[in-house]
Amino acid sequence: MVRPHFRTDVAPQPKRHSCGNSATNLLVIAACCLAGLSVCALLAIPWGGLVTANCHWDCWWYLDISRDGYPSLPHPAGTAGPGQAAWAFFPLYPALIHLTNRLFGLPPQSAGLLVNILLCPLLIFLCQRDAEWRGQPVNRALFALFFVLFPFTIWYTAQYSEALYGVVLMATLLALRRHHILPAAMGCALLALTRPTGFAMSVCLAGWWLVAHRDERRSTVMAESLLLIAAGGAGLSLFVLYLAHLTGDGFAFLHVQTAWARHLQFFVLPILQAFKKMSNLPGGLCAIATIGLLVWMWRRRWRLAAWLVGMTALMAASTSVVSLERYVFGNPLTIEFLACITLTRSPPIRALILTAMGLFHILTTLGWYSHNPSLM
Amino acid sequence: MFRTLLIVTLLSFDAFALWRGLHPHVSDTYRDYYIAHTIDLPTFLAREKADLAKNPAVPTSH
Repeated sequence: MVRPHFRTDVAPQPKRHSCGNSATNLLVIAACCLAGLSVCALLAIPWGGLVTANCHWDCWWYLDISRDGYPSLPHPAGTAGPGQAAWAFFPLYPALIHLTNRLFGLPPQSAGLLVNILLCPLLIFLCQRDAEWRGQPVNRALFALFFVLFPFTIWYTAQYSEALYGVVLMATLLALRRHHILPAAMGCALLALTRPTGFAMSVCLAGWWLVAHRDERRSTVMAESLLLIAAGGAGLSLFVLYLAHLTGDGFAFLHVQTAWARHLQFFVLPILQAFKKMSNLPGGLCAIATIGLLVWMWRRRWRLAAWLVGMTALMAASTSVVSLERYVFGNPLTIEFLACITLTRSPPIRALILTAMGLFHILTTLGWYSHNPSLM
Repeated sequence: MFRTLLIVTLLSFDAFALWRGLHPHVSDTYRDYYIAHTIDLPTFLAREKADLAKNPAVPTSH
């Protein structure tokens, strides 16, 4: 059933916002983020504070890159993760950590956290704008609160590249919705430099652009789509050429996945395998929840979001279901969709959902601080 | 015109990077483990160590 208040992804709705309005909105968002961060800081005390508690798994890779750059050789025998190398981690986030470290003289671990603390309000702001573009009546304060309370936003304030990826993705999407092709192409290039799925997102966005504007002049739309792909490709190409220069293998970022025992396979197989082992069960359940979410998004006519989140999930699940919850439920488009659904409910149900989410957020935060492998 | 020129330039750059990526200059050990998947991790590590001992000045990935 199509709800009248949900717009399709095709028709743009230009909306003007005054500077003062936006500034007040940003202040409200920043206040919500600050409140959430204060609670996290209190919870982090037993683990040595916010900076230390948040930094594990991929965080160390990003910090190594920001400090020493990429290595030319993988980890040797006798070290942690032999055969593994930082090539799997894309350069934009560590570059920002390095820049923040140089500008403010902060240690890399704190610089990484600061980058994300600053990006998080911007991401919520961009998601709000996207929801408003869809004609969705959004209570801005509640929307920001939803984002802060959502249990799978823990990576937005950890030293991970999720916040940067989310900001670039939403900015690119908004630029496209407003027909700003060149900034969108720039966004595609940055996306490809942020995460391995970035280039694929550029291709998905180009495909959507082609379909969404099929009634317009064919050659123009084709050229615009091609520009998005070429720009995304250029971002990835920069990294490929750098790796080729450094290691001799331009696709080292892909090949090094072998050291994590990740091999490309039909996406159903890793999901089925997850149900055979108790420790992988959360990943398997998350895959099932992902399918449900995608069907729900599609039926609610959030087709672009379903397309982008679906392709991300497909790529992730084609090697392993580990971290699927981060790729799918930590995706800003998923959070925006769930926020829009929740905030149209009656006030008592809304309050109940927000309270339950707040409690679950505390649990996921504690799970993250105590290195729970289900939240990698 | 500008847009066409931009697309052609970017696509040429992409094609060059793709060609460079498809033609890696790596050691046999690296190729066997990371690309061809014909050896396992312990074999890779042992061969890397042996390669490095033979010629310590040259990184074995190249």
